[in-house]
Amino acid sequence: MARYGMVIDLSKCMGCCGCMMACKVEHTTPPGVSWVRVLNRENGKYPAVSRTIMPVQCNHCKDAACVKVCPTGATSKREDGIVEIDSDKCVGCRYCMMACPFGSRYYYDSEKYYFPGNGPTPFEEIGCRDMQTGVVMKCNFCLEKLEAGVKKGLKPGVDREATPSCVNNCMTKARYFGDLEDPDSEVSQLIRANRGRQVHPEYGTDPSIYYIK
Amino acid sequence: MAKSVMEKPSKKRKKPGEVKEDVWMPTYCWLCAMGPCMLKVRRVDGVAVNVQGNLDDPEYEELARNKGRICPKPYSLIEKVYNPHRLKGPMKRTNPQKGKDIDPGWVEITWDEALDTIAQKLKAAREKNSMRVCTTLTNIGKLGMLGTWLPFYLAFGPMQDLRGGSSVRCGLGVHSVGQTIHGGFRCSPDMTYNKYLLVVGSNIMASGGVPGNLLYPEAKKVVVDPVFNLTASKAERWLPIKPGTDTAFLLSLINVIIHELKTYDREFLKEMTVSPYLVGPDGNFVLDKDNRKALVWDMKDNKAKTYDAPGIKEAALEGVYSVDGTEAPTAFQALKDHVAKYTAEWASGITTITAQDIRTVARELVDNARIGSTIQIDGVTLPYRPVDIVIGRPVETDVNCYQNILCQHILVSLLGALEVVGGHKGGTAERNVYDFGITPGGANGTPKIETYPFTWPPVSWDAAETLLPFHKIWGHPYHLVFRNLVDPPKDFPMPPPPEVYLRWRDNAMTSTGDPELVEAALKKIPFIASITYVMDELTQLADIVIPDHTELERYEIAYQICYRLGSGREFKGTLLRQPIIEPVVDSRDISDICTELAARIGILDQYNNMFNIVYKITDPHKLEAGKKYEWKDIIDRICLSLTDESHGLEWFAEHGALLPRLSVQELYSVYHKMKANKMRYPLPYMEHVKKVGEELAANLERVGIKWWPTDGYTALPEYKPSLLTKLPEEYDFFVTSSRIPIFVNSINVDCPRLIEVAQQVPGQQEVVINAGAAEARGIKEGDEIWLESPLGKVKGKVTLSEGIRPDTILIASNYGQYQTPVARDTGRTCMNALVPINYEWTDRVSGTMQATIKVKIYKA
Repeated sequence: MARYGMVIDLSKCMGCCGCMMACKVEHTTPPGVSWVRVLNRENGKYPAVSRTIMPVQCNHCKDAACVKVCPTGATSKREDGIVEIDSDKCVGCRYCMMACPFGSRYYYDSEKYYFPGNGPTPFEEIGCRDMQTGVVMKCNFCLEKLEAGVKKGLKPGVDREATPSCVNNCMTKARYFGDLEDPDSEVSQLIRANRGRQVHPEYGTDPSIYYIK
Repeated sequence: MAKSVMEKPSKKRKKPGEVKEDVWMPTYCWLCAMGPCMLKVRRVDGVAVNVQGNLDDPEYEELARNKGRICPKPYSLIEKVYNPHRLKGPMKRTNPQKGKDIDPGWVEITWDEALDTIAQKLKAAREKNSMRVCTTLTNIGKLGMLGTWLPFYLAFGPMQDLRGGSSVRCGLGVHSVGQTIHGGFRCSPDMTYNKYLLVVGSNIMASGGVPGNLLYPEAKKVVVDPVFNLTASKAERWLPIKPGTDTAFLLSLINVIIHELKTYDREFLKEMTVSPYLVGPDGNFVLDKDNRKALVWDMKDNKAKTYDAPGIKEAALEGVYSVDGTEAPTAFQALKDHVAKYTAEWASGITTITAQDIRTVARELVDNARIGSTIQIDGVTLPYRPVDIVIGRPVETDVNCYQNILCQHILVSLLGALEVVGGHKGGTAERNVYDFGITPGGANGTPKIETYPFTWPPVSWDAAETLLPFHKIWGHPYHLVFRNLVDPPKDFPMPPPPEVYLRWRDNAMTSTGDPELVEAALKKIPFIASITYVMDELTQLADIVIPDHTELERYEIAYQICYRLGSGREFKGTLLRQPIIEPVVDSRDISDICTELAARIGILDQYNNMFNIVYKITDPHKLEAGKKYEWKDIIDRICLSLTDESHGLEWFAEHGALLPRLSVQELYSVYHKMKANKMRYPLPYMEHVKKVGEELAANLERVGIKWWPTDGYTALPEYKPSLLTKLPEEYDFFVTSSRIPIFVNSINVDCPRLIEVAQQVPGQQEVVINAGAAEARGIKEGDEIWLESPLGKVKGKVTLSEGIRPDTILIASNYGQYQTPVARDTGRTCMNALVPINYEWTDRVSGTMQATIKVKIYKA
């Protein structure tokens, strides 16, 4: 069985935040909620400065802390490695948010739209029609898309129709997606060739997102 | 009973809708100058819901500008079309008083009333002179961005350009200077092969969109900028230069390469430039007495020969030679002698970059140029010089713009990297031709340069025909229109005042400088018709406003566009923009608006005929006189005409674009054209600029103008201290500006998702100050401060940074909206009110306006 994961090349990422926009539009996430974030930090003292730019999102950990604490089984680990939230089961207790060491989960309390006082735009009407409030949300590796693509016989990470939007649209080609279990996949090869690293391996969650430089 | 956390609380659960339609449709984004980028937009049940790069054909990975990827900007198309603040229909003002804080008293009117009124005003003005009409639209039609505009313009007659830009938003000056040298309307590195970029004052990765990014990671970069911008953060080295001293830095590089490293592309200089031409004591080329052609010195025969004489054995590049009793250095020798004073140590004292760093950069430029090397592409052997120097907008929007751009091109020519593989390319956007501006027929084997003949009295409100001869090539000093409308120089006779301003989208109120002056100027125009989609700053001063379709509601054709702006990579294609959704409000297509106006003014026959000429529409598709055609119908005729009937609108609507594969000759077209016509770049000695300057000086003296000095028209680059050095010492901070990848000038700053995402980029809302400099003044993160220039003051919230010089403040260049919905509520700082608009703060050669300024700061 596949274990889907991502590789992000930090030497290429220049912090344009295109992945954030791709995600926001793909999932119609509400104001204040961004399943993808791009950390951008200045280091050092003038004039010896550098900048760390690092996109972060749910790591879809193999041994996910969020899954362990979820009291209703809303958060679960799928066989293909994707950590999924079933909004129908989520009661909004937010234990998972406390447990996630990466701060990659968001609580959506009440309906919010991008033009306050004007209700949802037609785009938001369509995009939010399956969206519940009072639940936790996060990156799902564009699960709907991936599943539909796989059903058609497409390969995630290779065929766009089965690949997360942030990967498809990244303008520096810093993002890669694929099966970490397959040693011949592009992601596995990149991790091997560039000594890919996970964030905070010391937490022992075994993230499925690897960073290379 | 307390609820268990295991119990699902009641919450709103919407019924999943049944999806009746779910399609992805091709179109394109051309929000910024890097486009057109091929898109696919997803429509679900008649609503646009998603955007992605078009990769329907694997060839697009290579042939499309955006290679199937998109930057953050195209997502704003969805936000824009569904913006609830869009104008719902035509309106007219009822309050004759105009002003920033005055309610225009808008009342709704019918489309007929709106169009009749505008047409009647345009007609009345045109009967006097078409130049009594101002417009924002003049050049846009050329780019295929606005299909019916060019026929309208040609049928109506020339109009006065009146736009924003040429300031904190756009460089402008580079266009005429780059064009003068190598047809480079906009210069950019050949990124497919480039390995080393010296980036001076540019945030090229932030402003370059997809084409500007996909290839950059391959190149090693050194960024010279007062600010540690996004590009600097991906660079090998950051050299924080003092603002306004770029000319000194660039001159010192020329000095080090010629005098210390003594390594330059001699073959290129000898064959492709005017370097071997002999320069006489008058500063002009020494000419052959009989045929009046420039002379070079043949070292083998030890005598002067005309530059194109057959049998020149070895032309001297350096040295001084005696011709008819006068001592004449070669142009290269003249440069060498001239730059001897511009040493690394000299520049270090001015720029604060160490002499060692200057020498390192010069060495790296020379080493990476691989002088003498060639590369084979598709079986064709070409010079290979994978090195370039990128100059950014703040270096262009400087009164020394011409000197800076000239230095850049001289450096590139020393490296032999002009218009060759991996090097420096000019770019333009034209139909069916890449090498716009490169035409044989200039003096002494150089490309032909057209300049305005001196025109007196001035015929336009920017006075370009009188003051800026090189603006014949491209562009106008728009900012001077505002100055002249309010307060023209004494004894400078202006043409009759404009009567109508026909404005589409562009917003001079937020995109020039001195907003008070711009407002005062606009108030002098009796009638303003604004075509726009929300109530913005300029529309608030309009008399009539009509709403037009936004990008996802309309047709457009990028017709046989040849393009290499931004990435130095040639692109050729015909692309269709098409309505993804039905119009959301009672708006109309700008193209159909033009047709309606043409009909109502009474120029429909000429207008229709212009389509046949401009778009080369063939029988049986030609537009007939006396008939109004829908824009969609016209596009179908264009598609069929240009593809010999094989691809009509229907085909383009399904496929999006026709992108031909380009030959090596097309990819390096300027190189091949220069070689084929035995042309030479006018470097390093711009004799024609000097001569044009002398002629201008004589003409200005003749008509008694003393306030427009012409000493900037130099053949060789000279260091002239920045105007900023003349300001009183109390103004102790430079203010510069920068872009981020998310916004295009101020086009999409009213899109709330982009606004939210932009917050991830540090310092984009605030006033960025060096942490140490702020601490020394007791200023802390989040403090509100005033920034005061000799012109005006603005307030802003402080963000501290280590990535900025202690004498510099950064303000993002996109803001300043006080009327545009959403954008007006973000409270972001804009530097426009700090920047004066006047003659003194204008480069007399390139016409660009100085946009970097100095301020004093204090707590608010």
